[in-house]
Amino acid sequence: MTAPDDDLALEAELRAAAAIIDPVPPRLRQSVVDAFDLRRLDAELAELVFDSSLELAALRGDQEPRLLTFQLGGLVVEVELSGADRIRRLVGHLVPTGPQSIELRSPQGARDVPVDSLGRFSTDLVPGPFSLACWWPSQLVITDWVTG
Amino acid sequence: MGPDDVGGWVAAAANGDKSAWNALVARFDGLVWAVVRAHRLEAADAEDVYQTTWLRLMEHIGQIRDPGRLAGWLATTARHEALKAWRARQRAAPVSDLDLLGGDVQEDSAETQVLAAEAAAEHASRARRLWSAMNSLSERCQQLLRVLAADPPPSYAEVAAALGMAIGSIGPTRARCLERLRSAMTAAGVSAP
Repeated sequence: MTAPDDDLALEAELRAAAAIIDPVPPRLRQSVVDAFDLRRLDAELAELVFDSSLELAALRGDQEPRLLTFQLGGLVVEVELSGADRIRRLVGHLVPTGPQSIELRSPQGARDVPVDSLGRFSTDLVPGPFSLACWWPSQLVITDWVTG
Repeated sequence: MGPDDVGGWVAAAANGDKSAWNALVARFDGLVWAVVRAHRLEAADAEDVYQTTWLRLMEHIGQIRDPGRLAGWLATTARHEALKAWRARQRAAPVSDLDLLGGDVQEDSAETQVLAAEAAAEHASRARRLWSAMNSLSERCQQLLRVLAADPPPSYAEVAAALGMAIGSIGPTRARCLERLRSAMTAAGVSAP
């Protein structure tokens, strides 16, 4: 039987090897540190209540497009993601209408996306996680972060 | 950075203190990365899952009631997102296209750069052989050992959350996997530490 100390020593050596061979990329860590600047203390979170990629059809490979629904009470953000990998498109609408623009947030930063009178918007999307900030008269809402 | 004050950091970050957020990332991102990598995601997906996990925490941090559960929350979230990403990748690219069970060290550019720079260093050479020995083990052992290799060392509760294992099974599985790693190292001519 191997002494517990031997197991700890081997584990420690694995830990040291991981630090050499597979550390957290420094710029990746920095990206989540810097993302803190995107945070809005006065916002409420709209949770993801529907994701078509988790439904049965998705298991069969019917991938396109991916539909996401975020909800906070009576406020709804519906989003449709299409495209693959590096080139993606985001199309969506707000219920109820009202906001004239929303803010698209990503680890790369934030930018405004215009919303038409019917509550619709569309934009290109970079790879990686994204979140939408929507200013309704009653409430600033942030959609929970999702990886496209 | 002073001694760990996870509760203090959580409260401060919830109030918008960026240095507290920095401290949380520094303390726990070893665990998050280890969980992500244990799930065998390719580089781009691994980075997305790492970011999504931390961004989720950022938006939920005001709702964290018990700072003692933060590590488990992060491990569970990272695992959940990693599984989603892995399943999505399976649908897009069949298993045969991904070297999930290969015995080689993963080849992404950051690792290659480090190895090139330290090629002459004996400890880096040994680390590479130890890593290859680990990658020759069963999927289950690779996952467990990759999470155990997180820095700082994870608790068994965190390992359980990271891999969906029963806490009671971790000790025996760890012992078994470390023994198999020793055998693999011996077979590869790598001496024990």
